[in-house]
Amino acid sequence: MNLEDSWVIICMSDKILNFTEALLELENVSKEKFTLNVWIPSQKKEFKIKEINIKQQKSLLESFLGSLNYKSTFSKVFFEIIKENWLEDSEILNELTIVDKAMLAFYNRYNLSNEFEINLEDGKLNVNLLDIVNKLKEYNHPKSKKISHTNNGITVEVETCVPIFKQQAEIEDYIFNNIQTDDEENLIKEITSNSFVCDFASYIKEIKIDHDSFGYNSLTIQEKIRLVENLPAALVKQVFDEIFVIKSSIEDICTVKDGNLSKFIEINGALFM
Amino acid sequence: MDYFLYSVDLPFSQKKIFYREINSREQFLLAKFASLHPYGKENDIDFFIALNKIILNCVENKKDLLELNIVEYILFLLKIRILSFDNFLELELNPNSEKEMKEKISIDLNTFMKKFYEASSKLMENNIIEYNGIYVNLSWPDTKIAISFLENENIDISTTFVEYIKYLKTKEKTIVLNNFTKEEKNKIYENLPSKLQVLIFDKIVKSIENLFTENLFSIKSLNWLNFNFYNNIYLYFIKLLFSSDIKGLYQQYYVFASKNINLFFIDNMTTADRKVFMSLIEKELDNKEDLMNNLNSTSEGMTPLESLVDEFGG
Repeated sequence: MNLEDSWVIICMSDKILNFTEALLELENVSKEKFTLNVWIPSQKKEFKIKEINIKQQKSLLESFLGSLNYKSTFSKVFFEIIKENWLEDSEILNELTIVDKAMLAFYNRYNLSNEFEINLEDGKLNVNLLDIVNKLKEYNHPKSKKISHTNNGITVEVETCVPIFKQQAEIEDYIFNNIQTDDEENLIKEITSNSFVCDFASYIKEIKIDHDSFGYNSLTIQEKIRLVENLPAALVKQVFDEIFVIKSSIEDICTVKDGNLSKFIEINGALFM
Repeated sequence: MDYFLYSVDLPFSQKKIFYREINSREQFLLAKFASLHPYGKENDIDFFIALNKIILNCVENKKDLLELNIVEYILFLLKIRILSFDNFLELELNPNSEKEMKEKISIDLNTFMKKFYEASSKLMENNIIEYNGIYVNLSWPDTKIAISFLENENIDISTTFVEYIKYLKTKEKTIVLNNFTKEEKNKIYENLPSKLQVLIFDKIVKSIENLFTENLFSIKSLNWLNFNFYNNIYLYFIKLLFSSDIKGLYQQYYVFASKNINLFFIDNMTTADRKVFMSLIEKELDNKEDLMNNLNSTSEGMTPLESLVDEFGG
């Protein structure tokens, strides 16, 4: 008996599902069988998540098409997908960082196929996604760091951190929902400047003035932006230096080299094409 | 009453279709439709729909025919075409330049059918994909669905892949996709893991490619005629298969009618019947001609008296 025969025989005794039952069955099977154990760098352990499905992959690709119009929604879309697929304590979701996001993106993509090719001006670059995943596994997740600056007897202390994935998704949403202009040239300027401030604000965990906390984390994005815009320039410089260190360490992992060719692999919808 | 005396076993669905030959009236209708409607996607689809109505008439187990996938349906069309007409499709190719001559080609439909079956079998070999306990059974899309692929000029092929899935099976539970509407099918498909989609995609693309790159006609000048279900070339080919010489058919009707053969009887004749009748009529004409010639030849060189003696004996 070949597979085809056994298939037919089994089918005859099977329960033929209606549409609602079929969707429910696929949902149950997804939780049981289509799962991945992903190493989460910030938590230093593996977590179980469902694999991304076709609908989710489609929305990731759509987010990439949006980014061609300078309106990237990748982080927001991807966070929603991870939230939907997360099979463990949901509280952890609020603590995932952008390093964890990178791991989740690369691991999900690697699960689809290890083949990933990038077209460069000088040629094609074959990316070994498993290498990136392994580097992320070994990555020493940065801890928060306090930077202080005193002027005229007033001490301002800023605690930096790796940005939180959920907050990054919220910031992205905020930027694109608050665009003031329709003009393309001004649109780029507006998005770039807003992204710059928002990006800076996302690396900050806490701000204290003379040991008094602002409860930075509970502020709205708008409030956070207003606050960081008023930080002393000397402190901003130090914070930038720290941000640079964190960013460089992540970029190092996401940069692939092949001979003279080198490319930073952006984490966006194109990864899932 | 129709008798469906012929049968064919179809290779993928294992269905046995009982059928009869296409009769004169049906051949006439098809020839008329083909000659009145120029070639082009819209007209080719219209012809295909008209052809389906006629073919359905020639089949006893109509439900089974309607459930065939596009590949099996084409195989059946070839079979009924060969039985009803003959196994050659004669074509005249226009030259590419004035220096070249018109090329007459003859496609052996039996060879074409064999090659078409072999090329399309690629999808059906190991057509079950297993991924973490879920089994996906792939098959060529249903005929009606395949035709709908042509409705959209810029169709994204990957959006049609759901139509290649026959069953999904988990432990003791089966999801038969044909039981669902198009929207429901898509919703089920969207809930499959992307990894499984990669496997399905890979298998289908390779199968389509295999069909697309094969020179099914075994004729060098027809290398360009790629067969796949995303353009109307295959419908164009089917139209050619069932297009007949309408003038010739009119002549045959005229000849039979002049011999007082009942019109209803003519309508129900097959091509083979008509050939036999035509040969009888030709023979009859030949005999008459021979008799006249004999009369003429014996009369030549004789005096009127000798002729009379010859005719009445003496």
